[in-house]
Amino acid sequence: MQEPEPQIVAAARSGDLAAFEDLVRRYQADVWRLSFHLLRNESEADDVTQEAFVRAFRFLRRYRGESKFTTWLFTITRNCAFDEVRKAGRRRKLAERAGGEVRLISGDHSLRIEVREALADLPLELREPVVLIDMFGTSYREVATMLRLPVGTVKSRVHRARATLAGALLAHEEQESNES
Amino acid sequence: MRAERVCEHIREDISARLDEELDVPACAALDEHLSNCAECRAHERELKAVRRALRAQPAESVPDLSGPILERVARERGPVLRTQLKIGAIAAAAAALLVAGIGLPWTNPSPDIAAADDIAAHVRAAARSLTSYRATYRITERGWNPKVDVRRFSAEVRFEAPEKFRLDITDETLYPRPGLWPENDVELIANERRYWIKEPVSCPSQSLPSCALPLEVEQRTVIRRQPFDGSARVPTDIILPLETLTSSSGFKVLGLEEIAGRSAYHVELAYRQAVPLVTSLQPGGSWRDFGPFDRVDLWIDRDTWFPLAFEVRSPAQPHGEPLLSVKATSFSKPEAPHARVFRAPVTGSVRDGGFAAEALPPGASWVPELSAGLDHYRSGVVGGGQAIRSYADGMTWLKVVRERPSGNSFAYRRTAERVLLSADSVAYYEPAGVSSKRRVDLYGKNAHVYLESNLARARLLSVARSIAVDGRPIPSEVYNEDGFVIMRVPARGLERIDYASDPSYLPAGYELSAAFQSQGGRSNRTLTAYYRRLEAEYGFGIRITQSPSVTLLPPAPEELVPVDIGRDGRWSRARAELEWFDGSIYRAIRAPSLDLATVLRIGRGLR
Repeated sequence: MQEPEPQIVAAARSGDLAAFEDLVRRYQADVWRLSFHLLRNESEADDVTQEAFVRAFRFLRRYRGESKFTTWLFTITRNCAFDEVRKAGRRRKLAERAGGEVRLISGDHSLRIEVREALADLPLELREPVVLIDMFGTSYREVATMLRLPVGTVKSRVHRARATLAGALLAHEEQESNES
Repeated sequence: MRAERVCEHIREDISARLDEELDVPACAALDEHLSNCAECRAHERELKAVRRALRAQPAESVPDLSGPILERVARERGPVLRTQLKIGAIAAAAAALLVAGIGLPWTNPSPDIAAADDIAAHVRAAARSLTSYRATYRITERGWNPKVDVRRFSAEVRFEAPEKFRLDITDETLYPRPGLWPENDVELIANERRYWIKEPVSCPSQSLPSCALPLEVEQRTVIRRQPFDGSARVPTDIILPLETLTSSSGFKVLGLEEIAGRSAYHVELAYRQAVPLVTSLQPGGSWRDFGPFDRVDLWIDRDTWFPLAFEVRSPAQPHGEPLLSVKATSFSKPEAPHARVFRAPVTGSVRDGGFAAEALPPGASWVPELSAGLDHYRSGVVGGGQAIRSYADGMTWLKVVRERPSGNSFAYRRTAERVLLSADSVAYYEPAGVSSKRRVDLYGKNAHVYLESNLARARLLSVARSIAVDGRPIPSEVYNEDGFVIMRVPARGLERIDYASDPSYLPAGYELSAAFQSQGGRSNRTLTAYYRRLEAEYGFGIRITQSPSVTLLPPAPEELVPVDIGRDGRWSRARAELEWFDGSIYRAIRAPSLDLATVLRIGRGLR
């Protein structure tokens, strides 16, 4: 993910709405996609995206550039997603939720759909790091900052996530070849 | 560790490497494992497929929510405080700082051409007698970022033997939009007690200027610094190219030329040999990278042996503008530099080296009887049970460390070269690397002693020989689990391995450092031998793998070039590895800092 120009962040920090609009237009898709992969529900992802940007605007004054802007924004997004779960009164862990609606995607290469399904079945603790790394190109260190985990744990969870996905895809292939 | 656990650990490394999150030594260990473990190779293919599939996910159709977001934000927005960003026009000021060039050296063919060995010997002698130095340089760098044609710097170096060093680099570049680019100003101050560096922290140069890590300056301090601490070392090759010239076998002397009004030897060598010199003015900050075959031209003053200038060029454009050009604009040997010049502050992140000066009994068994003519410098202890005695003369130094023997077999430096010091004592030697100097380890019964130094190998080994600790050989069995055994093979034992051929040709300076044979398990019998340059190896060296048990070339996802090596072979640029079958024997050579022609020549010599 590309970082914004420092002047834009600085202008938004000082209350410049046009500069903030720039940031919204640029990052709303990423924020929405992250929310969607955490919650697996479209309308909840919509709510979380709005809430995350409103909070970002509120807290922008406190952002001093200690981390990348995108890392900071994603941390807010995560917090909003978890709040959303709590607000809904669902005490179950996100990980235990049944798979939500899956929006239709263009280009229906079967492997892609399989991967997406397998991804949705991963427990949250594995899904979150692999989504951040493979779909957003986030570095291990940034993920570690965001999830407040040691880098070594991030490394091992990403591997476990990929190994689990590989296993699921292989099982699917075998099932298909048995059926055909 | 059980084999499965080794694999589990290794598999995390496979995954991390796909993300470019694995460091170079771990990559080498991983390649080593992969070459012997078909299961892990299969796992790597699966992980790659998953990662590709995830990355190839088409974007979801995402709703545009900017309207409702901005509406809510506008409602709760406080008073508007617009601050104009002031981007000053510093262009004119920067232009005024640019100074006129010294002019290019012109060739002056002369019968007075010193041999490479003579020049190296002179530089070694000068390094012993140098007590202080001060010089200023002008640096011009091209190709750091596509949007910045040229960067220009001025630098000042001050040195007082053996450990006081100061470097100030001032960035004088005209950046296209000042304020968006990190100013590459670097300050480094080192003395006996402290090391301090101040450098800009920013994104990789390719991602500039749009990357928005704030343009920040980082400061780091090491207090209670150990003598000649390798992790906080001072880059002295810019003062005298001691490491660059004493450790490169066979640099070319092109002649005596005149540069900046002085007589200087013009020397040519490859970047892979000149790393300590080229990186000496780059201990911090952001600089362009070079390839191992980039050509370095160096001019050394005939009277003082100080480097007057050097240039780095791509071999593809031998006559083009240099990628990096460094020219001395003044140099002197000040009588007494001001003490406060080397006073280092304690700011930013602080690391404690834990060194406490202490007079150590000179008669201890681990203290060498000979010290290569160097004077005792400082001694002391470090918390974890280490005792250190150091020696110096001018820029030349030696450090002897004694610690308790570690019960852990992983503490052995396994790929080091085994050297017989006497009938009863064995030592393990390693050449200088990017972050370490030459090193000798002695694993005694009651003490582990090691020496580190910028002395040449032969002199360092003679110091090691005068230590009254008998070094014991490290166990030759490296690994043994479930019938799979890896053994270290002594140099003379190589002849007894029937399927292995000895290289009849190696590039100048390369010698066998260690060899391992694995036996049992899937890969059955495989011999892996490492060859390195004796004095310094700034890259990977050469690895030759041979096996009668491999029957098919392992599948490889990267691009492979078919090559003729008397038989059909294949060359992987990504792995820098040549592989082929010699009858029924699989052979492979990996050498990232050699070109294909040289690797082919080594391969043809394996008969």
